[in-house]
Amino acid sequence: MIPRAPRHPLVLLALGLILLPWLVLAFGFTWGVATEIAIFMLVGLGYNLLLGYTGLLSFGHGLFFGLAAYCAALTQIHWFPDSMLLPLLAAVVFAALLGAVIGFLVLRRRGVYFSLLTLAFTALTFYIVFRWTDFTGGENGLSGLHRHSMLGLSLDDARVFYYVTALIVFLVAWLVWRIVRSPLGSVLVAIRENEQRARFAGYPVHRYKLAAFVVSATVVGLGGALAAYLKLFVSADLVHVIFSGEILAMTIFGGMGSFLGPVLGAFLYLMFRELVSGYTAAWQFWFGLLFMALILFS
Amino acid sequence: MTSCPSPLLLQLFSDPSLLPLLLEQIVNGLLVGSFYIVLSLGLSLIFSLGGVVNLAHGAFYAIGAYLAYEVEKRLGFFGAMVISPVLVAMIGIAIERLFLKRLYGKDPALGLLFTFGLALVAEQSLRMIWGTTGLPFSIPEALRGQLILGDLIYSYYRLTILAVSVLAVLGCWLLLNRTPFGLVVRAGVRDPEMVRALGISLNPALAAIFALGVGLAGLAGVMSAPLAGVQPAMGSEILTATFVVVVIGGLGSFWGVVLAGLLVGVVRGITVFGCPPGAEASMYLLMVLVLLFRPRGLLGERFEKFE
Repeated sequence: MIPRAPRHPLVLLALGLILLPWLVLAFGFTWGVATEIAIFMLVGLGYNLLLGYTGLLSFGHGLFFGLAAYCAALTQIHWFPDSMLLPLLAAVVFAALLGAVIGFLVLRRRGVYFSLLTLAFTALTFYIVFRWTDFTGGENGLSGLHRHSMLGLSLDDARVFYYVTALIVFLVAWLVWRIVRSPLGSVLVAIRENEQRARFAGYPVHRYKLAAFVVSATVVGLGGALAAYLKLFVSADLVHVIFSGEILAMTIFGGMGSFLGPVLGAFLYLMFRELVSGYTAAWQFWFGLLFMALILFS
Repeated sequence: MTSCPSPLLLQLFSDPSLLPLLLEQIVNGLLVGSFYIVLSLGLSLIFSLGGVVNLAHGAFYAIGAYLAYEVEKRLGFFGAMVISPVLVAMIGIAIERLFLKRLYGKDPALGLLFTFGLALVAEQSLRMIWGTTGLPFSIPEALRGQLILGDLIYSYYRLTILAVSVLAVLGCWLLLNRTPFGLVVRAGVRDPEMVRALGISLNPALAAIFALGVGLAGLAGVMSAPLAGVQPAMGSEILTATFVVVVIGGLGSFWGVVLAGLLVGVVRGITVFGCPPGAEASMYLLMVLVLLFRPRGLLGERFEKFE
């Protein structure tokens, strides 16, 4: 019997994050998988701020995820080899700035053109990253990352890393929740429903969209940086359009209409991946069918 | 190790005899461009009439190539070039009537998402049926060899692709502009409600255009098989490029797509000559520039449903 109060999304999220490892381990998977799920929950929340709440379909978030991961990696390799926190912060700041610049360019267009512009930017960035071998490691990617420790606990321990990640996820989710529940969030929904009307009501719609874009990019970027530390490796396929598609699929699958939808989507998507790939390499085939059915019948 | 700017580019200014090399790359680029045109025309037609962003377009391209592999074993390359696109078109009709039809009235994003799922399923199916490694596909005997004009060398096969592409484009143009069916399609792109109000059902046109569109993709797949090979990821690789050409040309414009395909090809040719690592990125940069300064594309028209 769950009393009323714990139905608050953040409480559910907290419960979910605490219980997640047990669930994942029960299926025979690793703490690493649990951490990955937590990271993608975060990514989904950030992405949904743009998709579900503001109504902007972006194919570009692989770009933020991947470039922030590269930023964290490169910052640690070249400037702060003894710290994990500083590269993480650098990556977050970088993602925010990148979000602002790209958002400014991309939000000048609406509808399909907006989506295609994000697609173009991602594809463009992918090829630059892929080919700039001297800087980004090109096809081979970058390795040589270290997690170090925090408050005396070594982050190389997968369990510790999971809980630290989960804590970060929860805190940022709380931030996103505050945004969504604020007047800003209401304006975003107004923009989604009828942009012209919001503009007539006097809201500087462009600035609101940009704000949503930047926050979304930053949150997704944080996810990317955390993922870099999870895998201790970054490569160009994080910046790929297909990866953006996966983020989109996860969010839609879980449901973009609710706050926790993407969280569920991330969980289901990754569990599905892990479970089905135990049987067949073509897990995406089954996911694709499921996804198509979902779209047709919902 | 390729570098940018390439040594060739720098030498060009002092050594004019390198000009034919540049020309050769440009012509190569035009050939690649004509090939993109066939693909992009299909995508543009589906988008214009049905309003569906067909993310599975690349998958149909791949299916065309794989089917060609099978048909070629039994009926030769020319048989494959005819039959494979027809088979792909038939699959297209089935998909359109069974599934896409249900999504027309709804949020345009649903069509996009559905075809996204379809693309996943199709690519994985190809992997499951034919394996994850590529299949061998060689240029047919009759089309091997090269045409030599002075300093320039063109392979017969590429010239054939050029010819087939030109025929396909002209065929489409004739279909759209000189037949009653084409009239219905053009009207349906402009104002579907009015067409329906006049008592003309768009359903046959929708199915036919989707079939034509993916059939063209299949044809492109057949043509590219001897050059780029046949492997499961070929669909997703070509997909973004196809979108780029459609967007640069202008959503809803026939000649825009043709112009864009040629432009992308030429730009690619020049980039391969002058800055090789940037060759793939060049078209995306072009698309970014076009979208920022002329979002309707080079020859696109203003359609409310896109904005």
